[in-house]
Amino acid sequence: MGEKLLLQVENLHTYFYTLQGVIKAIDGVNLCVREGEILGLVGESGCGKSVTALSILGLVPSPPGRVEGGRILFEGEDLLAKTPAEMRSIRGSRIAMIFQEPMSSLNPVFRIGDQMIEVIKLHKKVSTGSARIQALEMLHEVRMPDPEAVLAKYPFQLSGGMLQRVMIAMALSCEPSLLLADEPTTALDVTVQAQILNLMKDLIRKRNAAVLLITHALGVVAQTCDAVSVMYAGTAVESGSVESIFRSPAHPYTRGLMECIPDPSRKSGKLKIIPGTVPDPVNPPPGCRFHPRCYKATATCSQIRPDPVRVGPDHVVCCHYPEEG
Amino acid sequence: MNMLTFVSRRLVAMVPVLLGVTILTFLLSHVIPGDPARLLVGQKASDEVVKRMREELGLNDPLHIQYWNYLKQLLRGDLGMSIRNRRPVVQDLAERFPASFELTFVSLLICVIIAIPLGILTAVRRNHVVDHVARVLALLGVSTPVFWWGLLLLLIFYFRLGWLPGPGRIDLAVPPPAGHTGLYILDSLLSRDWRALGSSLRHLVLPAFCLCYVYLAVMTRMVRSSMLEVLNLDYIRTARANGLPERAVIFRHALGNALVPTVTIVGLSFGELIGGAILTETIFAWPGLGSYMVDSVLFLDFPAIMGCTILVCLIYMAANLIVDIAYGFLDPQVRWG
Repeated sequence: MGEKLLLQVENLHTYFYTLQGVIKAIDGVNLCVREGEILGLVGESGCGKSVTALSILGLVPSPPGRVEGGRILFEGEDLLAKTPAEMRSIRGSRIAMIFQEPMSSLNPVFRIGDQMIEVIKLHKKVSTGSARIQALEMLHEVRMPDPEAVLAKYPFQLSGGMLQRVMIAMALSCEPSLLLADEPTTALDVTVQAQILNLMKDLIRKRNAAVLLITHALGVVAQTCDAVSVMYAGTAVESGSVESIFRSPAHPYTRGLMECIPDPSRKSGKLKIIPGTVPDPVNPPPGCRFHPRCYKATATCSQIRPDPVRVGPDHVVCCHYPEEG
Repeated sequence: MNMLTFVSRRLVAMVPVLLGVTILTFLLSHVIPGDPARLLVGQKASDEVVKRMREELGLNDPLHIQYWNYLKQLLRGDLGMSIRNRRPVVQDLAERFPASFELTFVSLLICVIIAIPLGILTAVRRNHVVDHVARVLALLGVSTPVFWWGLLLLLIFYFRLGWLPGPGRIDLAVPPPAGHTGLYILDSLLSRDWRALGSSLRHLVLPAFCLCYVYLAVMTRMVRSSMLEVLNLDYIRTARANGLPERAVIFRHALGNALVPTVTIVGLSFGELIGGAILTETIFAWPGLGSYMVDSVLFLDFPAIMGCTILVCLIYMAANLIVDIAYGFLDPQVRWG
């Protein structure tokens, strides 16, 4: 893992303009991914994780969505200042993405081979023959049984796990330095989930690429990631190394999330929950967005939005009253 | 499944459908009140003459015998004699069918050529000027009666401007092209009769446009909505995330998937139009199946009615078969499933 910053998202705002009002899906998110690092982006559904990834790639559906402010620095270049053509040449080659639903993420009317070759030819400017060889190699690397036959198959002829392997092979075929993985294992069987995660981790380490792994499962983060950022209602509330966050979560929300993980050693059979619900994205609460659900909240929390506070070497939290130890 | 097995299975499945159609039309045309024998000999003929005519036509036999006789004829490829003009129905249909086929084919061709690009354009430029203009035109198309368009087109382009010829398939001064198909465009091309080709093409413009407008409107909206639906799907997002240019996303990845419902509409429209272009054929004096059917019904010409019905039914089934085969090409899941 290098120390150099690969991706830096600063004060990102992405809004959706709907008839119900402006949905502030992302309202001031800060993130950074170092070279070769796997950063987990954690949070409940609807907190803006996927929109963050789509904003990075410039794929926020527009209308109704729009990136309204902030900077996205990738290898020193501001992605928000790029032209559409420049962004296209980055997508799939320097930044690749894999999605939650492998079953619907590949075009049903084209063979796996055609879809992989299309991407390789596009970015590497090679002949169909050599693109085919590279596609085969990639399928081999993702440990696909009988890659030759898979190239000639249609997506509906493969299982979800196999398709996610294809997606990974396709995403890594042009040697991206950053992979955005949006809940890549959520739609898969539990047994396949671990395989896919391990596979992804291996291939990423081999290439020294970085990953932004979006997930709602803290178990996945603990198992796979180097660092983690926790999002709540469109804001990043806490970030740091996996070790420091799991050892000493400083934000009450992060702490709440950890306590929600079922613990068989705990005597009482009841699962812990965080009281309340995720705020309405059109009219979010003022101040700290978590304050209506926070047991520590004071008048300050409902008025002033907390600034990031450093609580450890790479441990930052946005809270007026961070937890100690 | 092999394509040949698929097609032959579908062909076999058509037989009971056809039989059912013959029974239904036979029964229907016999429960309609009215006496074809009386129609044939005229109001002033004596009852004796009418009685003889009934016997001659076999109208006194029990219904099932009449049907059985008809079916036996049918299997020999004989659709019977028209009560009205005493000519074999097959011969009448052979004259009328090419005219309808040509009109329908050209009409749908115009439709597809305009509707698919326009549908894509309006989907991609949703809520822009093109979309709004197309929406108004489509609304006009589905809400204005065909005969109104026909008369308006004739009035403007034939009567006032004189740019295009009036009713009929070809100018009276131009002899129809020599050939066996009865399709004037094809025949004149084959016999290199350029004069006939020019004249029949010019004659086709107004009726073809008039006939296709409704379908053009429906099809454009259909392509637009299925395009919009497909463009929202996950694999389109994947294609974009892979950096594919928008052109490839729309034409390679979205269009093939979006065309499936359109193909269905084209197939069904073909069946519908070939026998159903009654108003257009009447306004443009087009000697096709539609006007023939109306005449047959008005005259209670049972053999002709049944012949037309069977022919239209056959065309519907053929169109459906072609649609099914087209599905196979568009969607591998149908081909392999």
